[in-house]
Amino acid sequence: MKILTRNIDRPNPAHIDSYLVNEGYMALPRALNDMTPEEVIDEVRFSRLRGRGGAGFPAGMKWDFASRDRRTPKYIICNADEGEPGTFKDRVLIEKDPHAILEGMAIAGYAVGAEYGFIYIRGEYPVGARILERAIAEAEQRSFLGKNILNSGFDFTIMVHRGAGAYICGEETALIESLEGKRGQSRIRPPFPVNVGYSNLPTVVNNVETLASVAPIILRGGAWYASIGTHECPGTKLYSVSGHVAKPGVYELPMGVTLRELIFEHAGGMREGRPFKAAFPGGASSACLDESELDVALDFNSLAAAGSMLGSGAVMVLDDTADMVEATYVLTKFFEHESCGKCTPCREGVFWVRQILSAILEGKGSEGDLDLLLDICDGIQSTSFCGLGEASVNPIVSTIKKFRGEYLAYMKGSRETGNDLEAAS
Amino acid sequence: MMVRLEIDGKQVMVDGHLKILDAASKLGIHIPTFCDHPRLGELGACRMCLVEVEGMGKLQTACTLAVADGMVVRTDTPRVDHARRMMLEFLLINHPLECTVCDASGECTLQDLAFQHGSAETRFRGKKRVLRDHIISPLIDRNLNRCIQCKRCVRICDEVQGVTALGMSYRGAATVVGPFMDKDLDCEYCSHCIWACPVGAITSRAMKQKVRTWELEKTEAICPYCSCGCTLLYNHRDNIVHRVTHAQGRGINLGSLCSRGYFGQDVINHPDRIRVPMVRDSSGTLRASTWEEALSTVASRLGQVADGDGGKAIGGIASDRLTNEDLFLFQKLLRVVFGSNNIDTPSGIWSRTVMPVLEDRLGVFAATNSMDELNYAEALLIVGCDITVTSPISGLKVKQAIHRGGQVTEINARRTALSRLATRTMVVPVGQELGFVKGLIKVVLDEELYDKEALAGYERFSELEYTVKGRDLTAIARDTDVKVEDIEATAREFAGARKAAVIFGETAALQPGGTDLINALIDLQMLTGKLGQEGCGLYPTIANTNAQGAVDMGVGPDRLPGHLPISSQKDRKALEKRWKAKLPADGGMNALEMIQAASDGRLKAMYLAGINPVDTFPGGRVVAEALTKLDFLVVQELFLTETALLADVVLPAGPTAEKDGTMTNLERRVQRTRKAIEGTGLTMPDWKIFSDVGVTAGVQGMKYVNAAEVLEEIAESVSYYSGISHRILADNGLQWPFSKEDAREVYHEGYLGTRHLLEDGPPEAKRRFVGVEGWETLNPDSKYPMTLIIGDLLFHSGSYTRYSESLNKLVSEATLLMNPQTGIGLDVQDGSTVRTVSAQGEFSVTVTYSDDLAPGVLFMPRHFANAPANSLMVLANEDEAETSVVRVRVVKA
Repeated sequence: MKILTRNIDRPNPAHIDSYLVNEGYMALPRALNDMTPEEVIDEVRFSRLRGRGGAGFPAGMKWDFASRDRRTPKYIICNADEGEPGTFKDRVLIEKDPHAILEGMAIAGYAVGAEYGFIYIRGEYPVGARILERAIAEAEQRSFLGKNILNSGFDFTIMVHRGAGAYICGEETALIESLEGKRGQSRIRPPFPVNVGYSNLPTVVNNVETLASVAPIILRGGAWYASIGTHECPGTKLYSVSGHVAKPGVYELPMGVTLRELIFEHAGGMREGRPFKAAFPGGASSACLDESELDVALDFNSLAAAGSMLGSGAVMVLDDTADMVEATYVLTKFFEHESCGKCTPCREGVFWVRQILSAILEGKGSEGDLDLLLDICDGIQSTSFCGLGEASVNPIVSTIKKFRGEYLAYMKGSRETGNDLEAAS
Repeated sequence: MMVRLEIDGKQVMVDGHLKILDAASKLGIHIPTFCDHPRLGELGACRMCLVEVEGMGKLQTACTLAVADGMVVRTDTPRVDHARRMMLEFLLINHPLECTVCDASGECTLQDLAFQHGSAETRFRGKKRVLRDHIISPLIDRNLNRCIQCKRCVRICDEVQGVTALGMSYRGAATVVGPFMDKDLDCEYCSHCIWACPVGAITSRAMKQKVRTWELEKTEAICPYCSCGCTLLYNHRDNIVHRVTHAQGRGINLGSLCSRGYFGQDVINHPDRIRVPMVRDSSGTLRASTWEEALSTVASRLGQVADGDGGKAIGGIASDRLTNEDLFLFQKLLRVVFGSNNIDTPSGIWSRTVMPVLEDRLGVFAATNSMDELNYAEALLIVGCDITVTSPISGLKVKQAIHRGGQVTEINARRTALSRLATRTMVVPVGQELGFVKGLIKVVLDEELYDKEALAGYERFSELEYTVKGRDLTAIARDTDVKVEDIEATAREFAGARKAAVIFGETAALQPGGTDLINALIDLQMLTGKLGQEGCGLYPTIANTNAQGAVDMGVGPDRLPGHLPISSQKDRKALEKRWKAKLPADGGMNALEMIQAASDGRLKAMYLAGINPVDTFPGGRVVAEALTKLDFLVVQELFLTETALLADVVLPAGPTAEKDGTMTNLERRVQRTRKAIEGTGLTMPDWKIFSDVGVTAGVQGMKYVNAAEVLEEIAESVSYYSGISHRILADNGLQWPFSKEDAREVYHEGYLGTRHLLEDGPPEAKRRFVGVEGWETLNPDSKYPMTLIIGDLLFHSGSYTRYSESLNKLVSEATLLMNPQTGIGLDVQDGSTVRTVSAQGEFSVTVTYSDDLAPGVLFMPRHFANAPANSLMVLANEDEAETSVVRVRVVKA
C-alpha cells in the first residue's frame, strides 16, 4: 500500500508537475473551498492519525488545541530535524515528495488559523533544504502558497530553517528555542507549544511524515485512513530498516506489521542468512527486542506493551556477529555527545555510564558494575528534564536485561578486549 | 487566588501563583535546589528539588510546578531522598573536590547539600572532566571545572542586568559558561554572576584566597556610592572589611549591587587612608598631631575669624556622601558655633536650581514616587540621564519594566548602556531636548490624547496650546534630528499608558536653561494626567548619595533643617529656642560663591568635610588658588587629597563602614547604616568630629554620645523626620513623610511611610501649566560651538572611587569621547590628542571615537587626574555656571 511513497518512483519526483499528476494540490483547494477549518480538523481527528515523530500524539487533537487559542499569529512547524540514529524516512519524503509536505502544512495552517510555517530541517540535509526551497518557490508561483492562496483569501508562507547539528533540536520545544535563535534546550512543559510555542504564540509542531499524510486524508476521508493499520494506530508507517538485513531501506507498510514480517518478507531477510539476534525497533533510544520478540507488532501500543517503543520507526537489526556491549557503547557514546547539558542526570549520568561501559569493554569491569549501571540508569530515567534524557539509557537497561551474558563474558575475560573504542563509535 | 495544599502532612494556604518550593518554605520545609534563585525565572534544570506529588507518576520539580488546590506533596520519601542523593552523586562526578582552596567553601550549596544528603563514598571510578580554562577578567574569576551548569550566572546577567555577557557553549558534560567566543569578559561588572553562583565557579578575583568565608562577620549597611541607597553586607574580620556580599531580599535593591557597590569598597582598606590628625607647623609642613591639638587649633582659628570678621567670613562645604547625622551636626556647628550660613554640599546647585521647580510646580521637594514603581512602568521617558550609571539599581528596575513590555524612550545627547534594551533612543543634541518634549505636548494636544474633564480646573491651558503652535512636527523633528513617527509614537505611548513616569538627570537639568526643560516635562505630565498616581512618578535623578538627606538636614545657605527658608523669622526663632542659641539671620553663600569669595578675600576660613573641590569644583586651578588665599582651611577627609594638601589642619574621618547613622535615598527613604568596623588609628566618624569641634569651642548643645542621640535631635528638629528612631528604621527604612501610624510600625501593603507623594495629582493650587516659550535651551556660543557633557562612568562615580584598586583595573584614565563625524570635521583622528578649551580653562586629552554621541557633542568623565574636567567647568553664579554641560571648542593639538 503506497500512500506516503506514492510519488517517489516517478521521474523527477520533487518537481511540482510530477506532484500534480497524481492528485497533487487537490486536497488544499478542497479544504479551502469546501470545508471550514473545523471540518478539516474533524477529518484529521476521524482519521485518528498519530504523530510520526515518536510520541504518537493524535494530530487532530493537537490542531484542535492550537485552533482554540485566540492569540495570533500562529505557526505551523514541520519538524524535519530527523536526528535519531537509524532514521532516514523523512529524508525520502523531503527529497522525493516535498510538495506533499508543503500541502500538508498549508492545510494545517488553514485548519488552525496559522499564517506562517517553518520547516526546521537538520543541518546535515543540505540537499533536502535546497529541494524544499525550490518546491516552495514552485508552489508560490502556482498560488498554492503565499498570499491569497488560490483566491481563497487564505495566506500561508513557509520558510526553511536549517539546524546546526544538535540531536536535541528534534525535541519540539528545543527546536522552537533554536528557531528563535537561542541555544537548543528543552522548555518546561506545560505550557505546550500549541499554546505557548514559537515567540510564545500558538504553534503546531508536526513531523514530516505526519504532515505528508494529511493531503490523502483530506482527499479520501478520515474513515478511509482509519481503516488502514490497527485500530489504535491507523495508517501506514515508514519504517527505516538498517543493520544486518539483506535489503536495508525505507518501507511503507500498514501500522502493526510484525518485526518478523518486516525483516523477512520485506527487507529480504537477514544478511547472508545469518541468525537474527536483536533489533532496536524505534531507533537508538529504544529498548532492544530479542529473538523471542520477533512477532511483536511494530506500532505504538504493541511496542510499548513489550517495554520498548516505536519512536520514529527506525528498525536497527543485528545478527549473531554483533557484540551487544559494543553496540550499547556506541549508542551511549552518541547520547553522551548529544546530551544538551541542561539537566544534571542526562549531562552527568550519561557521561558516567559511558565511562563504565568503556571500562567493561577494556576488561576492567566487574559484575557489580551492572547493578551500578542499572541504578544510575534508573536515576537518569526517573529524573531527567526531557524525554531524550529519559530514553537515552534504554539500550543499556534492555541489553543488560536480555544479553547479560555478553557483559559477563567481558568481566570473566572470556571475550577479547581492547577493541578500538574510537573506531567503534 | 489562595489555594490549600498539603506538604509532608502539613496543611498550608498560599497564593495560587506560588511554586511548591516557595509554599514549602512557608512551612519551614527546605527543599534543596541549585538552579532556582529568587530573582530568576523558572528553569527546572538541576533536578535537585524533585518531590512526589500525589497523582503524578514522575517526580516533579518543586521550583517549576505551581501549587494547586488539594495538592498533596511529599518531600520526605525514600524516592525523593534517592533522587537527591543521585543528583549530588552526579554533580560530584565532575566537580573537583578542592574545597581546601576554594573561595566559596563555607557558603557553597553543593558542599552544604553533599554534607547533608550525600554519601561519603563515591561509586565513580572514572576520569573527571578537565576543561581548559583561562583568565577572563581582572576582577571576576571563572573556574569551569567547578561549574555545575545551573545557568544562574547566565540567567541573572540576562534577566536582571540585561547584559548577556555570559552564555553557555558546547554540550553535555563539556558545557561551559563564558563570554561570547570565550573572549575576555566585556560587561558591567555588576557582580550578579558572583552572587548567583551556588558554588565556586564564579568568584571575585579581588578576593581570591584572601580569607575563609566562615571567619567573616557580616554587617548590614547602606552603600555610600549613589543615591539608590542599596543595602549591602560588609564582611569583616580583625577590624578589616574584606569584602562585600549581597543582602538577599533586603533593601530597595533586594540584594543586587553594581560595580561600584561590590568592587569599589576596597577604598576602605586603602593604605593611603589618613589615620592621624595633622596640623601645619610654623615651617609650613603638615605633621601628625594629637586630636587635642588639632581640635583646639580648628576651634580657636575659626573662633578668631568669627570674632574678627564675623560668621560671614567662614564657609563650610560637606560631602553629600555623609550621613544625616554628620550633615545635621555640620550645619549646626557652622550656624550655632561659628554663626555662619555659608553652608553647602556639592549637590547644592541641584537642590537650588532643580528642586525649587518641583516645589513651585507641585509643592514637593523630592522625587514624587518610589523606585519600586519603575518595575511596572508601561511608558517611561528618560531625559538627559544615563540611568545605568547614575542610578544603577533604578536602571535594573527600568530593565524589569522593559521585560514586562514597558515602552522606554531615552532622550539624550548620547546612547547609553540602556539603549540596547530601550524601545527607542532619541539622540538629540544638548539643548534640543526641549524641542522634543514640546513635540510630545503638541502631539498630545493635536490628537486630543488627554482627558478634557480632568483638566477642567487647570489654568493657562490656552497658553500651553499657544506655545506649541509655532512649529509643526516636521520642523520639530528636523531641529531635534529625530523622525516625526518617533515623536508621535512616544507621545501616544506616554499618554496611553496607565503607568507612565519621567526620569531626568543632570545633562537635562543642569544645562543652561534646564529649568525650562523640567517645566515642559511637568506640563506634559499634567496634561496627560500622569502625576501622583501609582506608577506615574517624576524622578529627578543625581548620583550624589545623600543629596536628599543634605537638603532635609538644612545643609544649604538658604534653608534650615526641614527645608525651612532661613528668611522665615518664625521658623528661625523656633529652632533658636530648641537649640538655645542664636542663628545667623541672613542667607549665606553657596559653594560657588564661597570659592569666588575666597578668591577675592571676603571669605577668610573654610571647613571642608569629605570633599575635594580642587579636583571636582568648577574652575580647577582657580579653586586651588582661592583656597590658598584663605587664612585658615580645615579639611576632614579619608585621604590626603589635592585639597587636603592645602589645609592648615587635616582631620582623619571614617567612611560609611566605620560609622552608625542614617541616609536618605532618592525616593525619600531614610535608612539605617551600621558600623561594621572600628576606625583604625585615630580616625573618627564625621559627626563625632563635628561634635568635638563644637565642644572644644566651648559651645553648649554640641555634645553627643552616639549617632542615635543625633538622630533623636533630628527627629525633633526636622518636621519630616518627626518620630524617627533606629527601631522604626530596622526593616528597610521608611519613606518620609510618615504618620503616627508608621511610627507604630503599621505597614500598609508592606510599606512604611509614603510610597508616593501627590496622591490625588497636583495640589489644587498648583494646577496650572507654564507653557515654555522657546524651543531650545542652550544658547549657541560661536566661540565655543560644541557641548561637552561631564559625567560619571559606570565604574567611577567621583573622586572617591579613584582610590579603588579594583575599579582602577577597569578604567583609570579619561579620554574625550567624540562622534567620528565630528572628528572628521575637525580633522582629528581616533586616538590623537586635542586641546579642549572652555571659557574657564583648557587641557589636552586623547580622543576616542564613539558612535554613541550626537554630532557636536563630547563626553568625558569627571574624575581622572590625566584630564581634570573641572578645569573646564565654568565658575560663575549658579544660573550661569556650567558644571555638567560645558560649551567648548576643540583644537587639534
